[in-house]
Amino acid sequence: MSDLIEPSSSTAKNNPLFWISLVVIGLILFIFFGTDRGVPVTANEPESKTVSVGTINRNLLVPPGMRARQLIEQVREEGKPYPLPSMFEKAHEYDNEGSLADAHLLYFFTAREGFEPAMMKMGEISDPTLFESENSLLDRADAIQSYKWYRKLADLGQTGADEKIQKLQQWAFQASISGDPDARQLLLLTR
Amino acid sequence: MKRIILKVLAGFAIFMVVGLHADELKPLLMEGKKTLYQRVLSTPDARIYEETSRTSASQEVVPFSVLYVYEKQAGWIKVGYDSFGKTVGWVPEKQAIVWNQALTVSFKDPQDIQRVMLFYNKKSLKDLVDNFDKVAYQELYEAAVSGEPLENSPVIAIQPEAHLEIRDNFYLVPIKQHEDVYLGNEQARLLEIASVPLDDDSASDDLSRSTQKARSYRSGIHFVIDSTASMGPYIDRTREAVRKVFSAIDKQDLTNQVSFGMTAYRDNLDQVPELEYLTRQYVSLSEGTDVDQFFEGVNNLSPATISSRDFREDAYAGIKSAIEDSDWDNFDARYVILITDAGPRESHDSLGTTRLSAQALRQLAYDKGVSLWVLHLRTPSIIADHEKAEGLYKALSYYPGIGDFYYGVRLGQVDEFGTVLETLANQITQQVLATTNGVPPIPLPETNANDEAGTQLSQLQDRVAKLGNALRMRYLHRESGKPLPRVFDAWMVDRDFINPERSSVDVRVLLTRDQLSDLKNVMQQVLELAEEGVLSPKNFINDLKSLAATVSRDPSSVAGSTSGAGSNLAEMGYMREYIEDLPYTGEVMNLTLESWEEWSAKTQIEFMQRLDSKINYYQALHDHTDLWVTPGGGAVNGNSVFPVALDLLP
Repeated sequence: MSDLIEPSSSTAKNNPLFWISLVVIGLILFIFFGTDRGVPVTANEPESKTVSVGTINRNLLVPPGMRARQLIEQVREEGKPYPLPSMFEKAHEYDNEGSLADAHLLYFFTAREGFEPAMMKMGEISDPTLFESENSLLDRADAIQSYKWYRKLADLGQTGADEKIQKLQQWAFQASISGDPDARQLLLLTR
Repeated sequence: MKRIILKVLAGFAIFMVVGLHADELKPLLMEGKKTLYQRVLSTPDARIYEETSRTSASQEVVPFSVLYVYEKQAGWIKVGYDSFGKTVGWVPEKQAIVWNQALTVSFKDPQDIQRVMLFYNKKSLKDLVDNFDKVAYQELYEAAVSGEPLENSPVIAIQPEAHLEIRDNFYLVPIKQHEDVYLGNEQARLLEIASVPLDDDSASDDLSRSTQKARSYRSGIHFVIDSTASMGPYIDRTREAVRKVFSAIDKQDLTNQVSFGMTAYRDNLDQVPELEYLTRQYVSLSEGTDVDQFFEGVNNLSPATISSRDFREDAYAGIKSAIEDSDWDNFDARYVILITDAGPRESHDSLGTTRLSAQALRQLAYDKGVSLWVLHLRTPSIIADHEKAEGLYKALSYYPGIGDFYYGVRLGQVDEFGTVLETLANQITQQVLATTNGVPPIPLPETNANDEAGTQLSQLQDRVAKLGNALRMRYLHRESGKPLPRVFDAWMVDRDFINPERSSVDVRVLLTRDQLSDLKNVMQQVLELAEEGVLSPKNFINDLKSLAATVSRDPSSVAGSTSGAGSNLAEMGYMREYIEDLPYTGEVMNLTLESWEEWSAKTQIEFMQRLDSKINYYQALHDHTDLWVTPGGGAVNGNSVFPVALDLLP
């Protein structure tokens, strides 16, 4: 393919306007079709079984979160019990391909339905001791959210959640000294 | 026949209920409101009279108490501490601050930010703000901090150096008016507040005038000490501490103005007769003015040689004896300091002799004007129940409007115990000295703020410095020959003048527990819809409109207001009356259906999490009953209040 293009474009490549146009088009595409992470996003149908991690289907451009919402709508139409493990897996796939909004919505949905691995994931996503902005949909950690999910898990008897809560409390003690409002609120919640 | 009788009975019951409610006295409503009652704050000199006459019987009221207005009559207000219909008497209108909006200020720690200056009038402050004149402000600030204000300075007072955390120490600095302004590029508010003056240490004009009266001011400190087997080191250290305080008293020429008493207690003799006594007074307050007499008495005190039955002792018996068997009449300030390493025997404890609860014993002390302090030696012991004891001692030493006077000595360290005891006893002595010199404030000894023990002690001392619910401002404007005002109005700005991006205070609204509960319930329902709306957006708008009809205070107005997509939640009927006129509208109330639909999933999720966080906060506040203050004292109820920061409102 490149062989076919090269000859006809060689003169154009010498023109600076060509490169400027290319950059502008690239920026436009980036703005309109970029994912949460900035990778060009495309979508397949939620129920599609042909998707593999990192595959980009350029025929279906959808806003962040739409694929997850479609999947949620579909499973709700099919009724309970919801296929929570496979939805959680799907969330992982979205996570890996950089579709963080879709991933977040599916984690949230499955956690809300009581799927424990998803509850742990929701806790970790917001945990200030684990937070990495480059891998998160959210701009900042949210200790209160994190505590909420860990607490639910601990109440279900998950000992791992107790340890996470302890670490969160240790963080809160330190952060409250410098006046972090979330840390102060967390200390109030865990009094 | 049965049916007829049942109907008649049911009708009678309905009639009774309606009748009772019709008769129930309610406070006066604020103008234009359907559920908000008129409220006032009592000034420091306020008294509650039985009738609308200053010659009628009267009682003192804690400064800046929140009072509901039930009736107004020729310069008098009939008031009650709650809205349930129980009135307590009449207050002259001049002794009350109208405070319908219930806005108050909480100060930031002055270690992190410049102290807030208070100005005589709005114009002088507004001129500075409009011109953003940092140089002029700094000049005024430095002069105010030094305690020597510039000539014709517009500064009337400055925030005190000591910091009180409002969550631990409830106080009110009522806002009477507010005005939005810009300070540099930041939006700020000018606030008119009412405050109570704290005299400047350096002011000495009135010393001689007040000395005569203050000479008679006397403090009585009665120690109640656990004298069971484990207490030997602490009894010795108490003796040493009192000896040092006596020495300080002597140097400051305060002999006869501070007196010490001591009562020892053990436990129920029916179980262990070898304990010899349940309570025994070793020195009375009248004897304890003299150092020799004091030590003659306490040198006979020694710990028991036999152990009592369990890890609780009958501390309440010792305190009750100190309150009832001491002659407090000659003392203006009255303190009972309990020293123990064990928990008390509560009213339900079969071995307790007083049958009093912590609250009942506290009331006994309160009625006698006695302040109870507890030094709890948290000695390492596997059978000790220090947590439970702490709760009971905090309840016992709680003083309305100030907080508890409990100090837990970590691991029962004798050195720490001695330091704390000396500091507190010295502080009381300093209070006597200050009063003698006509200077009300209590000097705060330096403590290491990073040290846990230091912080705890400092907090305890701060509580002593507070006047009722009023946080006193260091008063700078003294006019020779004129007494300090009981209360004064002043203007301040809510942002740090030098770094306006930082706020210098939090503006708060005093919500009742019922109001917070209502707010939490409504927001919880909104959150549930928002969670659904994030996952399946198509029904969100209609669901929100349906919910509005059920939570609105005025459902008839909801249908009209929700027709436009531009309506925000406040207009849809979610706004609550108790927050609608505040100088703040949160993002939840401002949310329009249009903007929700336009938002990305990420923005919706972030919104939802912020709302969730606020609801969690409301729930935590609601559940921590120790944070709530009940006007007039008593158990926490729906009228108990807490100052909620405006930016935590929905």
